Amino acid sequence: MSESTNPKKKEAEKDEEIRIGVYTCYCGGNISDVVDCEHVKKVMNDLPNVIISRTDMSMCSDAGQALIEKDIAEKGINRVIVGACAPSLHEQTFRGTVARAGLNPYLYHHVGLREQDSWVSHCDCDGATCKALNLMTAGVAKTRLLAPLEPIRLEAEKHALVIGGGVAGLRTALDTARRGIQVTLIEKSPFLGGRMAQLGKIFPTDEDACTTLDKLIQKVVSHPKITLFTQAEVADVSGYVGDYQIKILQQSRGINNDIAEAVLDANMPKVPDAFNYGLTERKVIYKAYPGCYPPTPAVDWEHYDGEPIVVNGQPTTFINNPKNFDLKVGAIVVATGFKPYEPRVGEYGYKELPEVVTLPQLIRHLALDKTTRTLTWAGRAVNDIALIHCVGSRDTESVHEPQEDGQVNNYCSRVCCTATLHMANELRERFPDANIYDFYEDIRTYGRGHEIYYQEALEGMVRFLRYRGIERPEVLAAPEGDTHPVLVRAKDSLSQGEEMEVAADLVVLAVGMIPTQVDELVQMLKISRGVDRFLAEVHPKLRPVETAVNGVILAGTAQGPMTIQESVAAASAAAVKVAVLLGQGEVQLDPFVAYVNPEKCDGTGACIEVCKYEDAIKMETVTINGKDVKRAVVTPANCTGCGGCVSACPNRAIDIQGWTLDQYDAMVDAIALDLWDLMEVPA
Amino acid sequence: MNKVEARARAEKMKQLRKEHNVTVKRTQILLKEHKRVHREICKAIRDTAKTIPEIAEVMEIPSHEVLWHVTALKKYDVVAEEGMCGEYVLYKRAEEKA
Repeated sequence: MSESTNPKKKEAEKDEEIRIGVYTCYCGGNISDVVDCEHVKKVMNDLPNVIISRTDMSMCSDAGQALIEKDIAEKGINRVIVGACAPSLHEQTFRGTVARAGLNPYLYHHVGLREQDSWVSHCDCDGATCKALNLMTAGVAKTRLLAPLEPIRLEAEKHALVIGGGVAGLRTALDTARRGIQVTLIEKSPFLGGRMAQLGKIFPTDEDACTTLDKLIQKVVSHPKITLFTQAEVADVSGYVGDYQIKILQQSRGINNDIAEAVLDANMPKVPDAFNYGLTERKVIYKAYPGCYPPTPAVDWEHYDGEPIVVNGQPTTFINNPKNFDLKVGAIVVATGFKPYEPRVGEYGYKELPEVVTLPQLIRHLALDKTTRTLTWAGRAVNDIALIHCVGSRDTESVHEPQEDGQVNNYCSRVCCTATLHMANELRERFPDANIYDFYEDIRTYGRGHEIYYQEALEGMVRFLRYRGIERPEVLAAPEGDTHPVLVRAKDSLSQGEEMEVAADLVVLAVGMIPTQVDELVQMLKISRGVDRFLAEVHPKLRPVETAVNGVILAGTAQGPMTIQESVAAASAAAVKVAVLLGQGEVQLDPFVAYVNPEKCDGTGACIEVCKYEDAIKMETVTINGKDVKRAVVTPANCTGCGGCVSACPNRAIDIQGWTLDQYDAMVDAIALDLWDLMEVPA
Repeated sequence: MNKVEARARAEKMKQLRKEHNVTVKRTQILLKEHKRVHREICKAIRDTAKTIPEIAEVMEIPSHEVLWHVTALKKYDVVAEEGMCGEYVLYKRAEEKA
């Protein structure tokens, strides 16, 4: 850290109102390796109104921020500029710093010297330094005209909507309700629990998934601040943070409690049971699993054909009467979860060879019979089991076949390595005589306690074969008369690429995670997806559960592959965000929206003609000097601050707060002229 | 920059600002035209997601102009990405208010 002061100037400007502190960040070399930060500091120190100019290795560090706070307290700094990384990363950080020191947080200006300068000009150090001087000088010119602003305060409903009744949605609902906020939890399917309910033992604690889940569900359904709707989904969303109007569409359950038990014994059509990934069939009126919540069975409206079903000797027809209702909430949490990747027909022999299954299918198969000591599949005893990692994950563009939307799943699903090893150990424990082969590309047991499963598998004589990413194992039907139905071939890099062939009775595909299809919801909420199609957060480190839309927050695997442990942590983080947002009963938005100076406005309406947003600007009649005249009026909550209206106004009567035309003029002047010279040249 | 040059530039800036008033009408026309183009783009992708070349074909304007407008619409959440079609991003209208 170094400092440059200008004592004479300081003395001269002692009584001046504007006292600017300029801070140029090295960004750990990201900026200072290209830009001569010390030169920038020196030049800044000579600019008008600049009281102090400093550099620091990392302004965003606690020490860097403390420096700013100290200067505000001791040197009477009342405007601050930091030249550092992109404003999207740390503008809010430094506004907070300034606010902690007692200044209005909008008396701060952020200059992007990394993304906008050093990273893009790394081959031209002199040019980059010159650009940094221009940007910082322009920043000083703008800062001299900064005025204190107040955030836009909107009344907020202390009510949150949580979309999704899996473990993440349940945890978010409970944690939010415990902070005194009303919660409405909606689940699209008839039962709570999501994907977690389909699991058996869960790592890293080896607890039973349903037992753990049931405890959470009981807490949720008994909490007085949580209202639950199953078979419900969002039909429409309007409004903004603090005041979202939601239309919910809920299907009928179709069954009342009087016939809840009897209906399950009735004869009726059966369909493949999605809960067991099609391994079994279930009736069209069903419970997802024993002990599920709600305990009342539900009609599967997609498959029920409308024909009467005999219940207690009476032919009974079930009718779906969907109902719509409205909600008013302050925030929305999206916890829509994931679905396991479904391999294409023929991918590793899937759906062509009956002995090829996915890991979720095997989990359900073992969960359906927890007592068996002999594993059987497709009518034969299973002795040799091949597990294949990374199915539907870590695909390579132009090597592996793309998904239906043209993209390849090039991401790592993170959970499947540990899940596969966990399964290998369970198989070893339950079927000690089985031979287990594990075909992997890399083993990524990154979580706390996960590596133990790898060690256990190694000690348990699970045989590992390592393939290279683009040379994946091949699964073939064994020749007729072979002792095994399936052959798995792979080049094993652990034995110098030797081609290995394993005869197997069962091939288990460790499939990755893909996002649940929520296209309509994404459109309604106007949130973004990442290139992996999971919902995107604003910033992975600094705002990891918030979306770019104020008041819309993410929880769990809707955002990307996660373990249950990580989903619950993300859900709790989402609940805290909701509590912070709505706890005060009002939300604050940045004030960078249009405002009209009624003295300059002559009611031409040019601003309204070019505005693209409904109800952002409207014309109102006001009385000035006894005459009724039309004047433009901005509704701040509907204005995005795009500035279209500003450039269309012939009278400079409309401006964006914090980015006024006068401030732009000052910045242009500072770049086009020399700020010192400008100060001395007569106007 | 010496004082003479600085004065000359300051004069030039003043001159430019005077001329700027004349450009307001032009800006209004330009913004109204942008608003019309944005509406047309939103109409084209209201029901079916389209790539930039597909929108350009419907609109009968060059792809680079479409990309310029769509980028602005995406920034303000009026359109959203909707997967890929080969190497091209598909865009769809994100909201009814536009």
